[in-house]
Amino acid sequence: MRLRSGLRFSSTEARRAIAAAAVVCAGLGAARVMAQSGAAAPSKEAIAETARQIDLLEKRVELAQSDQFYVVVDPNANKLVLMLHGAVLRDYPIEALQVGTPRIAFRQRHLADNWQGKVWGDGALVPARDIDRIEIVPPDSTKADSVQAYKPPPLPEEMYPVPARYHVRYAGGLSLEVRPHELDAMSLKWSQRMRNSWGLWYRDLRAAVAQHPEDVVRLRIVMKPEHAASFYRALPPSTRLLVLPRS
Amino acid sequence: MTASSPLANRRPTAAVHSGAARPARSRRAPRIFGGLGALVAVALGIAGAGTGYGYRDAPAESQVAPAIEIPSNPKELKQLQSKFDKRQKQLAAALLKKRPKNAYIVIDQTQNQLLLRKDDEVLLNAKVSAGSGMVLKETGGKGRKWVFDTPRGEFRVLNKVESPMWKKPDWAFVEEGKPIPRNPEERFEAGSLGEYALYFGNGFMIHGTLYERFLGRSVSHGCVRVGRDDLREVWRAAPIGTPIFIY
Repeated sequence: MRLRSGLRFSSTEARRAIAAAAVVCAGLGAARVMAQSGAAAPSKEAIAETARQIDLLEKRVELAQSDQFYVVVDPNANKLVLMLHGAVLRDYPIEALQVGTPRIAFRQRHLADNWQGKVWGDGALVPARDIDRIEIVPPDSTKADSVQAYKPPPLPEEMYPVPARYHVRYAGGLSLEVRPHELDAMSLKWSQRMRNSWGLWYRDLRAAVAQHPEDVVRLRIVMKPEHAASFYRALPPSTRLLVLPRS
Repeated sequence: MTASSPLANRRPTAAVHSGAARPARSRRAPRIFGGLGALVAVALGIAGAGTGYGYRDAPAESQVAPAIEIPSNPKELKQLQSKFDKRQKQLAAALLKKRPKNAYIVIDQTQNQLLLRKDDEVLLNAKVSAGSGMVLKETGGKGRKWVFDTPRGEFRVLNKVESPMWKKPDWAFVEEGKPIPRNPEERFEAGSLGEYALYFGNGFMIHGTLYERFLGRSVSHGCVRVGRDDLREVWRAAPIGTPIFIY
């Protein structure tokens, strides 16, 4: 047998070379199979964790594919993110995140199970943002004095005053309770702060002792006042919510 | 007391002998009731303080197992892990596909802000004017009604025009109390839309304005008015097909 380069091989040597190459390939393949079969099987806990991660990803994909605005609370990144179709519209840093449940005389009432990693719908602002619709009266072109001077509308800060505490209440009993940073509350007079405190305590007391509390779980989010105000003014109606688990 | 008085022969009580106004037994009763009342008040106060909503830091993920049957056989565990890995990759790819790959526009119509975003970065934050929300009713004629809202949702830049001419719709004449022209050429107006216009459907545009002093206020008829310098940035960064998210 002669190769193009002019080297000569006997047929026996060629057969031996081919056989050797086949043995090497077979050996490599077998080693790979053995390596795979020899790898340790994943633990049940690892499988369960992967299953949870997949469940969360499925929910995120479902939210991204729907046509509704949604809010993602990420306690790991300390962020609250408003999204649509997988795109981040606005993100707000969170300073603190706490979970609240109703209690009577220090005894906890029923706690909603699995509120993390679950999609909540029909979010509504409480108190709602009042939207006044002004009707334009067209001037009468036949009358010279019917045209009035233009009065510009107020700024959003003037149109939508933000309460000291507000909720975004979702169907099923979860609400986001948004509070500005406590330092901002210190700017109020002590009498006003006392009135606010007593008012809030009384409302919470009534809510907690109700036969069917409106808020089974409250997520208290503390933000800087400007972020809390921006979120209140900007939130679209009927948002959905996903709270990522803390890892 | 005289000898003839009916009380003269009456045996005096111990209370009279001691000089006290009431008997000892009846003196203890108000104290006991008073003490009990105070105890009850304190107990109610403590119970009241512990009634309402109790807050604690958000916990780590619930360890509730996902609703799948996890096998015990190592071979089946490996197969399940392999299946999960594949599913996880599919979902991650689906989520990534939904995210805008390049720069996109976000408009907050309540707070009159426009953001140019790319991934997690904000490239531009501009003050704009979105829809006023006012209502215009046509008196006489067809009795039509227009509501000047900027629509919510996801849109795309469909067309870009330099030095756009405004083709005034019917409401523009009704609002001014002027008759609607029969000649279509009488509807065109130059200069009022600024240097550029980016159309995103149904007659809505992002365009310039002659009224930059009103930026930040909701004064438009539904379009989004942008200041000259910011509009130039948007024009440069947003080719046709750029997503526009409005909330």
